[in-house]
Amino acid sequence: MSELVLGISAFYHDSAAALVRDGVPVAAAQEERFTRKRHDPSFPAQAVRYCLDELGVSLGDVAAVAYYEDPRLKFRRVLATLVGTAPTGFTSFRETLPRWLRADGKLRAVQVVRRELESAELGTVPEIVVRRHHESHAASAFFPSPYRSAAVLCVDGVGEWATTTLWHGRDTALRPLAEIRFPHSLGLLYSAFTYFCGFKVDSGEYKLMGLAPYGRPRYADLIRERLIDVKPDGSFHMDMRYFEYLRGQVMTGRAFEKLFGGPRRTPEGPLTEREFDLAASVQDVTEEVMLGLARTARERTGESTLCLAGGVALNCVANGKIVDSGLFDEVWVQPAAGDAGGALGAALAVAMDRGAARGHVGSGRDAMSGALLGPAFGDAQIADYLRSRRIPYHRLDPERLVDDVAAALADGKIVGWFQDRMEFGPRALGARSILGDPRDPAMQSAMNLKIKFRESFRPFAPAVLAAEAKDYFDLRQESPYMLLVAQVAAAQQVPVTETGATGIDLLRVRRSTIPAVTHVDGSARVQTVTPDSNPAYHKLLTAFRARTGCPVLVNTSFNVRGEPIVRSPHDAYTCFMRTNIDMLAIGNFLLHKSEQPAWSEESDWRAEIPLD
Amino acid sequence: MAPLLLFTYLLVATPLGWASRLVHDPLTRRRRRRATTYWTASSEGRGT
Ligand SMILES: [Fe+2]
Repeated sequence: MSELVLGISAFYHDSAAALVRDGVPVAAAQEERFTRKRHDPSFPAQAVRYCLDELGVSLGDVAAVAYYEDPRLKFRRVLATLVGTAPTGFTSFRETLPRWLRADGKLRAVQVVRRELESAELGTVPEIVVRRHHESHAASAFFPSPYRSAAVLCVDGVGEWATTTLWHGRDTALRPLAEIRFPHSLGLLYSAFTYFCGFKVDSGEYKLMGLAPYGRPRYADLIRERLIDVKPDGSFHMDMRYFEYLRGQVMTGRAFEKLFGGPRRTPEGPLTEREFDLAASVQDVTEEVMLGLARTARERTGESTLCLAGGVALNCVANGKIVDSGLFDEVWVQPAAGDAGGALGAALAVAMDRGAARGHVGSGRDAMSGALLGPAFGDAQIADYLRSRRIPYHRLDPERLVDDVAAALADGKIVGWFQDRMEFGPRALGARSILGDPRDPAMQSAMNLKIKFRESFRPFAPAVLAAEAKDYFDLRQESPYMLLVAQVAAAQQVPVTETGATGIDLLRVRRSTIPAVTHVDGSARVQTVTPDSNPAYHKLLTAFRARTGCPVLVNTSFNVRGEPIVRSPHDAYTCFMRTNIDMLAIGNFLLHKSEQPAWSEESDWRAEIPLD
Repeated sequence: MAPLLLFTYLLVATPLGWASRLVHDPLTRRRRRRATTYWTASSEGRGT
């Protein structure tokens, strides 16, 4: 008899649910994909319902529900912060305390989870077990990894108290070794710079990382001298006089402005050399810390493999540096490294406690099923939708569909690619992706303007046939979840002609045979694709390779700016029609933009989607 | 609500904060210059 554990993360950022069967992740999704509210923090009612439906079970069939953090311990940290900053933090006190103490407040998160589950009428609610925030991250990093034993490092903003934790994972056990506690937090340091550079905290960190290659790390020494004291073992202590997050609702204030010569950039304002250099500097310090932490992880555990999770593990540039350092033979990063992945980790931790096994160990594969743990739509469902809306389509056999799409891509077309189960985690990995030809120097700009309706300073990410990855990228290992940055291989680099371009115009300079995915420093955020991780995507890459000789495609998430990634055929068709995507491949159905009826909407949809 | 909160803040949180900082700052804001590491023993795994 198999045993199910349901994991839930909620009420902070990016709520999610995950279902684990006998220690194996079988379904997981973020609530935002259902509610269409980006990073939706509300109770993940629809994600829970989906997970149960995926297996055709009710809550009564679930042995336990695991909640991803300890609300009482977290509250103690909040109280210690409020008391510890008195009398200078009344605003924070006034806003925070009621949020925690009211009847449905954060302190009663577990009771709220119980109530929500009961009112959803999904069956008898089993016991709800609480796991610590970092234990959830650590479990999500280690248990699904392919390793029998490994060092485990979790780095994020903050959960309860811990902001950085080191673990030793062996078989079905995780032993905690050491930690660094709030307010000293690498994640919050990065968020402070994200905020200061005018991006949104908790989502703009990725942009700051993308900005870094334009700058010089000329503030890095200042950061090390004044903001963060880093020891050779990677541990760190921050000078809280420069940060506002203890006292208020913002990250930085006067002292920070004084240190960096002026106020923060206004959101959506012009990007200047200062932001480039600030980004490069905090990235430089982050990499130094991450390398130090990795070194300690190696020394303290003696392991030759490393597992990573926590929001900072989404910093794929720093991850790439750890891989390049050769400290470990191999590194595995949980694809849902942020707090959504906490739902999965909590469920895994509880499952292992209840005696589950890690059956996949020894197979050489991880237990994440390519992160394709979300809902799929069968051809019958897709056909029903298309017919009910009188949408013109061509139904093709799978080989023909792949061939037609590859031909269109080779012809410079932009294709919406909707296949199989949706990805769990923040990245689109070839199940809900928009694809293009990476060889075309104009593709980066075209895709941005036609789909995302913005110029971007970031290149897109390449998906590459795993077997040919080394011909294109200096990559020491596989990168199935687009969480490692590597340099484009020398053989693919081209001599750069002097164009006089500066700032973000540098992205238009052709540096390689795959310019659409090459950053200004010659790096790329690689996803390696194998036949078993995503068969349909692998076939498409193979067909594109056969036609063009190039085993790489441009991959960007299937959404418009500020909107969650599409989940359903309806979401996909809407995004297809709102943008200038040329073709939509959805299951075995191919839709051409030129054959579609005119698209009209009553309201201005662009006004309804918040800025990202 | 607001006057009660202000009252609590000034008459409870503030003196408590001052007093506790004299003994031990849970937020470890003071930098230990001679420390060789900022790693601490893990508190994970202990119940609340
Ligand atoms: Fe976290």
